[in-house]
Amino acid sequence: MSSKETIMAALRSAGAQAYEKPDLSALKQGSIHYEDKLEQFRAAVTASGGKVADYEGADLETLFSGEKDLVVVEGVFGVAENGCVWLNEPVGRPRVDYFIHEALAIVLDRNEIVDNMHEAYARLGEKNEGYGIFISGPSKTADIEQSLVFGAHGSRMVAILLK
Amino acid sequence: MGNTKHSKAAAKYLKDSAKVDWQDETLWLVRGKRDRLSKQIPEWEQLRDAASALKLYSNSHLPELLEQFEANATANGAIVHWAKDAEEYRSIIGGLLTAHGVKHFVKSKSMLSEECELVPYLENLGIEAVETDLGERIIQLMGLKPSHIVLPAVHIKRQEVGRLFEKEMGTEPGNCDPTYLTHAARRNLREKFLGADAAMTGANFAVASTGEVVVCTNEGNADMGTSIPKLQIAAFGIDKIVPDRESLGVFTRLLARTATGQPVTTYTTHYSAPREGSEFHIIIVDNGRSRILADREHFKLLNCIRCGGCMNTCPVYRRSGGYSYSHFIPGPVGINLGMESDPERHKGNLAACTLCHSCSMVCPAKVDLADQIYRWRQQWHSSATKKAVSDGMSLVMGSPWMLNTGLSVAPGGMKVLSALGLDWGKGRQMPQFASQKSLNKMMKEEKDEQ
Amino acid sequence: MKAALFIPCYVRAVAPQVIEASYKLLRHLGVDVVIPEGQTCCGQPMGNAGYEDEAEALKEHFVSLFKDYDVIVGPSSSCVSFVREHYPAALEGRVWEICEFIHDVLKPEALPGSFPHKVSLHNSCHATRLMGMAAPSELNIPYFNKLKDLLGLIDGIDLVEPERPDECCGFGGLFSVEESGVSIKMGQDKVRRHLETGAEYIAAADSSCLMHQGGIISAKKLPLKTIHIIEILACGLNEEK
Repeated sequence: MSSKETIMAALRSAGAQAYEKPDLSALKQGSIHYEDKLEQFRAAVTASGGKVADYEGADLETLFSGEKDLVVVEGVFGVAENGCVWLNEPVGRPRVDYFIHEALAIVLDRNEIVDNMHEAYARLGEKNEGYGIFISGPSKTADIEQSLVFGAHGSRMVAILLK
Repeated sequence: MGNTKHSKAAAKYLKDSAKVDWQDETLWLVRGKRDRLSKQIPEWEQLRDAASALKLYSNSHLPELLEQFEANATANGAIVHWAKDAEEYRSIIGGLLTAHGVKHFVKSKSMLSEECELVPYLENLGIEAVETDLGERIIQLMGLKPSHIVLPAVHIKRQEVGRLFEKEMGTEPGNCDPTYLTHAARRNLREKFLGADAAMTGANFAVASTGEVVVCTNEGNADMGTSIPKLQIAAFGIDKIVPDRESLGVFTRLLARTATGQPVTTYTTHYSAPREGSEFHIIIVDNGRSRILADREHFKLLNCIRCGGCMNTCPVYRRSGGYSYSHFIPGPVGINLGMESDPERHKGNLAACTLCHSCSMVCPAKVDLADQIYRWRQQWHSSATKKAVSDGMSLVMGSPWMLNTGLSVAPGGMKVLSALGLDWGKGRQMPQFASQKSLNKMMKEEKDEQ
Repeated sequence: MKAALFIPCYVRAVAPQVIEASYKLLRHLGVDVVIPEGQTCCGQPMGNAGYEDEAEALKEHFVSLFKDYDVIVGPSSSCVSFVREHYPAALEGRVWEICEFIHDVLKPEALPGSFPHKVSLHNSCHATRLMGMAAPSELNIPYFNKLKDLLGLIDGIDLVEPERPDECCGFGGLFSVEESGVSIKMGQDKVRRHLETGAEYIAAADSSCLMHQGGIISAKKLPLKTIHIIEILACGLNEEK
């Protein structure tokens, strides 16, 4: 018997009571919504240690305090409740570009902001793109005495540039 | 009577009272952040209900969800393996790394790899296995085990990290500034990432409807690791399965808020297809989980999403430290998981609970942690002396005659526990029997009245 | 309504004045209450220690003693919660913790007497998280606290709460013996937080938490006293009768 068969047989013979799949529609409808999604998104990005600026006339040099090791990428949509941005597999550049530079700028259409993670996943649907990531602010750690430090392994600075 | 392994270890731990207070405050701060964030979400309790219901659904439909996951993952181009136990998990990974000629291997934090003792196994094969989560790396370099599942080095002081990094990474002697040390580790581990032949992650969630594996980190270590080498491995226990992305909406709202008091982790990465020019292997592991599923009194343990919230809130964990427990996962969920893995070995942990029920109320997936500890206690007894005490109490407190006589002959002021031959420890005086005169008089008057 | 007063064994042993106060208060509030003779331990300590099977005889005894009463009221949330959760369905809906019973059923609008003291409220685990007498700090539900509501009926009381208002004090039944180190540390932390409020008294609906914290207080000779909430609520009744 293969290990898969062994595991499946053990699961089937466990005789666990079968629970129904919950209907999440009431939860999703009743979940937090913001009057001004953009404002909430800004606040959430800032709280996560990131910056928000206008794409038009953005001065990356100032935004990233003179840091030269930076990259500008495209985000698909943002989430107001926690300030994260969804990015697909990057086109024409390696995936590691999302993480390896000191500073990361994500260009985002200001009209593409959803309220919460339920809406975010509803928007993504159940179809698979091969890779995708939510990024919320710069890389961080508090592993030394719970002191918050930006730039553990990924980008030390993150700015969202609103188009 | 404190003769369980936990109570002895705790007694030792409690000697350094400044450190105990510091740990307690640190962990309570995390609990406080969790409280503040959860209270910003009006639908918080409905989210917990939904998470619990989703887990009960997925764990009771594992055969079809795992099949669906495997079919989707395979269609995405990933290669799926099945491991029934720790040994098979280790040998699949060892086999993959050997076949690909891997010498340098980076991994992100995975409690499954701790459970299956992966790193020592790989080191025996001559493979360098580097933990890349900062806390895990500190612990690895110190030759220790994590003391908390989300904050592995929460018990280590910055001075200790400073001395360690001075030796291991050549940092300035005496400099123990967390920013300085973190950035030193960033540079040091950057070399490990760039030189790695393979990378591995665990998984926070495995989504049946898409065949993808979701990994949540703050540091970006999983992302750095998996973005460079030509071989990526993700391994997870069967209880990580969630039905679909719709349910990810629920879990991603709960996980970081409960774990660290953040609205979401910095990186929530969805891996499904191999990166161009590389291979993606997924290992689905049982290692005792199907046994938990068959245990009617405890199957809800599989709801656990490993957020560590129960540790932060547990008043006993906060004051006895992760190493006082005999199981590699400490705290309320660890007490229960230990009992599932080897009850004879871990039954002493059952004593490390006041049944305050705070854990059950913090748990984002509503595992009935305290009730489960109560149930384990009915089957497994942490020490033989406890039985004698319980018997003594039944005898004295359980007989109206003994209780009455006992109370009438016990002189007011006699110490209660001395009557049972017990010690209550230094720093706390025993309660004293009170005079029953006034109460007896009242009860007699009441009787006369009737 | 025929009511019986359930006397938790250790309350009788170490704090019999709580039984007297409970009896007087219920009578004052118009309840026809009696104290059935021959009461024993309800079995909670055995259950929590892992010997619930040995408490079966106690359960039977309890049920036979109380089965004919409309309500059974006891001054201990931890004993009452044990009876509620682990006893046969025969008593379902009839067993109450006394503060809960007064708050939810009797609903007095005033109580006599005054208690001109600063009191730090101990929200015990079993009152808060098992009996639902207050909103637990862990949950995101509207705030309420029945114990505070009741104490608010007493004149002159200055009611405060410690930091971490519903963290466990570390008693835990046999936990206090088996894990005495952690238990004492938890008790010391709890008492310190009560003391930091500047209160003269720690008040709770559980004599067991008070007994444990009282032990810490007397070992350190701290300027704090413990008192059961019922004693405060009945403080104006001593002259009556």
